[in-house]
Amino acid sequence: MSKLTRIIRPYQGVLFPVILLAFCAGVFLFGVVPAVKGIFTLREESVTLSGQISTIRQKVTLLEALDESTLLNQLSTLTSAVPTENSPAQVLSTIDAVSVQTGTTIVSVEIGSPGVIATDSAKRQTSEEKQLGTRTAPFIVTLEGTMDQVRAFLSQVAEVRQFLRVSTFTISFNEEGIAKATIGMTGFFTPLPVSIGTEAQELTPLTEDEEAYVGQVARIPIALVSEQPIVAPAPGPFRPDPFSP
Amino acid sequence: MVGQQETINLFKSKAVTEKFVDAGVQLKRMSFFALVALIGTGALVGMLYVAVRTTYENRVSEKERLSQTLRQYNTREGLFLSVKERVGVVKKVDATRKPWVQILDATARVVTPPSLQAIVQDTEDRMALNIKVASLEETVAMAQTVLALHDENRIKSPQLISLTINKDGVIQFGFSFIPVF
Repeated sequence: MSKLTRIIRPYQGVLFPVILLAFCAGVFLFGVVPAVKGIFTLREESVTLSGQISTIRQKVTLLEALDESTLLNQLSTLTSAVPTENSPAQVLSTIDAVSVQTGTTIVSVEIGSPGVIATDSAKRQTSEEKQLGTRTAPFIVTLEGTMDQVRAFLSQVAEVRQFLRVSTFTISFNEEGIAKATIGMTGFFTPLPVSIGTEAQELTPLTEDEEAYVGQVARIPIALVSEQPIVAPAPGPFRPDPFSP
Repeated sequence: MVGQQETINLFKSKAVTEKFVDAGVQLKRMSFFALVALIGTGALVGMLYVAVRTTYENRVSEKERLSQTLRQYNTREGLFLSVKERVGVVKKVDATRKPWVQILDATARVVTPPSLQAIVQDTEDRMALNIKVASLEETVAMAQTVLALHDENRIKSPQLISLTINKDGVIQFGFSFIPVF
């Protein structure tokens, strides 16, 4: 013990400052530095939060200014152009109405896949479907009439609210000049979304062009047989998408 | 004498002690400054932490308040997103539709029934006309109209597919073209 005391004695003056310095260094390394790191992390989170708050506030302001009945009307207009589900009955009704209007006689309507067992999500989308963001339902209409009537049919079918596309056609004429047209057409449908994304997802208002386009679609006449009115869409309930980042 | 002194201390004990005393003074000063600096830095960091933490908590509560308001508008937001998404879809679908009637009107300038036997439009957007006429003059007139349509940029790449003249002098021919919309 006396030997140890003898060794320590010359260093007695520096021992306390050294311990104090070591303590200060320790507190700095294990206390101050992590605290500063924590402040930076908190600051970053705070900045992120600020961005999210700004987005949410913008969304709330935008949504407060919207009228639900107007939105429902707009959606109804758009779903009458591209329905929410494949409805051969609605397609037939549209074709029938156009045929009546133009005086053509429908010989046959051949629907590609009126009903399949697979759900929409199980069916593989074609590249065109992916590009358009819709499902397609091809069908073939065979009709008869004069050239003018067939011409009118091709014109009218592009001017009705349910958007149908003429993909192919063959028009042949018999001795009496009666035209027989076989028209390959495509119907479109796409379901309504069920999720609304995350809170932090930005919401951009409809542009003037988009508003004008909805108005333009609304002015296109609906060609349906009178017994089958367009059913208003029943959207929702909408929930935030749990898988959205 | 020698026998009484058994060990000799060769260390310059006084010099060493002075050195340690100097170092000790410097170390004391350093440790004091270190302590003061640490307390100062600690206080500063503490204040900064409190400020940042307060801002963070305020923002968390602000976000929660706004989120609650936003949740009240879930249906409206869903409707709006549905409209927004569907406008794009409907526009795209609309853009893929072609005004075939314009081309039918253009072909009517070339030929009409009963000379026109058939019009075929295939998936590659190439249209073909099958025509039956009684004289070569009519064929020449039609060919001139086709060339005029080409010049007007209503059709492109016109091609004569077939030409048959039977013993009665009836000419049957077909030509194809790509419509320009």
